[in-house]
Amino acid sequence: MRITQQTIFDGFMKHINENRAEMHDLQQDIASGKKITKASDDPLKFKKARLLENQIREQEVYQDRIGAAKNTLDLAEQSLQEIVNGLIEIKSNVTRAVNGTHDSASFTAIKQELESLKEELVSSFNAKDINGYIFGGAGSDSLPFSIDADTGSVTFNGSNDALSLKVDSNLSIDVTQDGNFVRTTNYDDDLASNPSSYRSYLTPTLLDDQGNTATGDTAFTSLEAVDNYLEGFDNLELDITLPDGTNPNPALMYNYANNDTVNDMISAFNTQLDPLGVNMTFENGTVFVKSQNMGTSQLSVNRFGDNGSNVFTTNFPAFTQQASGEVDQGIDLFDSIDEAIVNLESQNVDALSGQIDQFDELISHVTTHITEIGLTNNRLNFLEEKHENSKILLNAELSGWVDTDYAETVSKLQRTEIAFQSAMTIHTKMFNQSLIEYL
Amino acid sequence: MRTLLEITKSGMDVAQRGLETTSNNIANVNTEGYARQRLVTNSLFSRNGQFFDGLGVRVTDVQQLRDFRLNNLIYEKNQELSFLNVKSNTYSQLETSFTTESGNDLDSRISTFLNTFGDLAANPVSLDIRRKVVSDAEQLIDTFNNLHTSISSQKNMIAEDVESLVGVVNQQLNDIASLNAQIKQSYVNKRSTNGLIDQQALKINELSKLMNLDVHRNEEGQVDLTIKGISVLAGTKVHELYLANDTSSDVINVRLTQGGQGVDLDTGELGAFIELHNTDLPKLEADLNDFSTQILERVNNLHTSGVGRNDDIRRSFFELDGTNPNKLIINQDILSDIRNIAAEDPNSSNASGNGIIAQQIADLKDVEFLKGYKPTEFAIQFISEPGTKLHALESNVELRSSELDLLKNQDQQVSGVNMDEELSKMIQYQQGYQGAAKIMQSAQLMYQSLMSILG
Repeated sequence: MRITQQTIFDGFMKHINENRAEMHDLQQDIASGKKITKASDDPLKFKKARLLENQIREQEVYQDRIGAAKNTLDLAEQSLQEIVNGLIEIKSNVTRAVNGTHDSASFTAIKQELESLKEELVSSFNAKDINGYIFGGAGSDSLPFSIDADTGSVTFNGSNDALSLKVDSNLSIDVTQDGNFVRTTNYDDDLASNPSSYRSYLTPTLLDDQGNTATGDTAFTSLEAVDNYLEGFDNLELDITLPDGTNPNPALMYNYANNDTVNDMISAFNTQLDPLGVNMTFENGTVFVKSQNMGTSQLSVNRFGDNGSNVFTTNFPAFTQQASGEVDQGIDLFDSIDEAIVNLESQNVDALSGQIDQFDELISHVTTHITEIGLTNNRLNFLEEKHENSKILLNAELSGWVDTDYAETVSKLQRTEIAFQSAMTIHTKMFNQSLIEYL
Repeated sequence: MRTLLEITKSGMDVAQRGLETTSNNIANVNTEGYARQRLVTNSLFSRNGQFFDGLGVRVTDVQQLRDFRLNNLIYEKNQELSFLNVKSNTYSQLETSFTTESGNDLDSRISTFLNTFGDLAANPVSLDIRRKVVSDAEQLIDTFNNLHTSISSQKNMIAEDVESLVGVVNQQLNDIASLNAQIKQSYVNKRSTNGLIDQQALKINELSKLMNLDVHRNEEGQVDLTIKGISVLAGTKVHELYLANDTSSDVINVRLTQGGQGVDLDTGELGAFIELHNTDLPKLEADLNDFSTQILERVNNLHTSGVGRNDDIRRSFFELDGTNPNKLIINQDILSDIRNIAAEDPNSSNASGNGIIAQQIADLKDVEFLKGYKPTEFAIQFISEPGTKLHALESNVELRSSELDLLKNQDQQVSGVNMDEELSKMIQYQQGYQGAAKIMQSAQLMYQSLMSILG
């Protein structure tokens, strides 16, 4: 084989260039700390890394949102606590009025106290953070609660529905609240927003824990207890009067078999009720029978049972209100205060003493909301930790894909350096080897 | 006696010619395209009765050492390698505009934009978030527009490159044609064509990097050149090429100037440029268009089903009906009043002020609508495309260039100048000359002795 000077030189240049390129790459890896910076470095790893970065970004978004949600909830909790404190103070004032000296001066003083407490409560209900009013419902930028200058009654100007925030890939939590839920003990936004949707309901609910309720109705500790109880009935008949004053024909019947559940019964009745424009639901242990668009008429439940015995001992408190939309929403906080103020004015001690229970109920109602917020906060803390953990794991995985392994890279660099130096040395020697030296 | 001096003289002549050849070889040791030359000699004799009397030596040829078959193989590899090089250079340039080290590329722009809508869903009233929606949208469409620009400017540059390369090809073809003419003349006049062949081979080598080329060489040393059977050079007749730019279909191709026959170039620099311009880049462009249209249309469809905070007018978020897909813009109504961004679904049973539409837009991030990819996944696929191509090309380039190196080595073995070899030849001729001179000296002495006898 003939080896010319050119062959040696070309080979030298090729190897030196290769070594230089490799040293350049390694030096880049070390300096930047990353071995994958562009797709051509390794397309698969690059794509993988970008996907991971996207997931990390998502975790960060959720974390940010959780942070914001917690701030809002903290503020809500604080406001609710203020409301509870206000209510306690009102209750103690009312109690003082009932048990006190009964002279008109003290009634007036207490009345004034209540009026100022009412204003404080309204301002607590109007609590606001950077996102808007906490009890204003969904996306409302108008003051949610205002006192009518003439009548002194408090009206809600916010919107119904809460704003929910996505804090995990498939979990949303409510950050703002419809203040009506706090204000009244038995608020039903379905009825409030759609007064023509009337319903009858059958008590008692499952919410009782011992089986004996104050109203004397049959109560259950669990869904199974309801099932077991209903199994005692053979041919359940639901006797209703439709809004047009007629009764369904044939009668609505269901035979409760041993393995049936409440939901089986509900869906069996619904098949019969559906053509009549009536719907039966089972929510939180209460059976509701409701009808849409009743106009001025009403839907009433006459009886629910078999052979002369009723399923529940209660009379069925069918909603019989007319289309005006006046529905029972339980005790209203501001109405109770207004009522107390009127009673103080008229010095009606009996009525006032009757109201003490009302305030107790309101206090426990608002306290329930505080507890709920506490639960949501706990859940958010848990989620925050979860996102943080997955972020750490994702970052670790990402680092494994793209970051430079220094030990490996430095040792590679040293190896390349040695190869480079050897190439230099050996080629310089080779170039000097020529016949010219000997002539 | 006379013969002796003639023989000696012929030996000295040959040694001198040999030294000339060697010195020419050494002088051209670094000349590109130079093939080493060798002196071909022949002994002279005459018949004398039944003997052959030597009459010295004569130079019959100065031969060039060249393997034309090897040269053709090198041309072929040149075509493949320069094809790959052009492609990888283009993809490498595209990669730098598709992905940055900061990571603020199409993928992160899309997810940021959609996530901000998620924030808006939870807080439709906030002007800060609305402002962020607009700025994120601006960054997103800037990214889309930049990607479009980088692809289309590559296409424009390529069209210009092809135009100038076609000019180079025509120039080279004419040069080779005139070399053909000179070679023919020298051949007829029995002069050496070595230098001309060197130049010719060099030109063909350059030309072979540009396009498909088949070389047909005749015994005189002239070459005919064809591209896939279409003659571009026959003897001294050049069939020039021109760039046909079909603006309506945005396709470029190369044709014969005379007759306009299409020349299908699919290798070499020109082949690579044409393939990039007509096939590769349009595909990237179409993918990008598809992507931007689909995602922005989906945003628009949702956005037009919602309402802003000012009124009930349904507005699109992006203006997509523009004829130029390279220039996406945001609806002017939204830019002039961010309260016009629709977050609320007016038909929902939820109360007004809801963020249902914003949430639906944010949820687009999990919708698989682009060939089964979610938007961010598709963006990642898209921006990795040039790098993925480049990665595959790089290993091919390495393979081809080491093949070419091998062939070049083989060519060096045949045609390359080896200094040691030439120097030893030099000594050889030097000594040949010295020997002949010595004989001449002896002959002179012989004459002198003879003269002195006469004298």
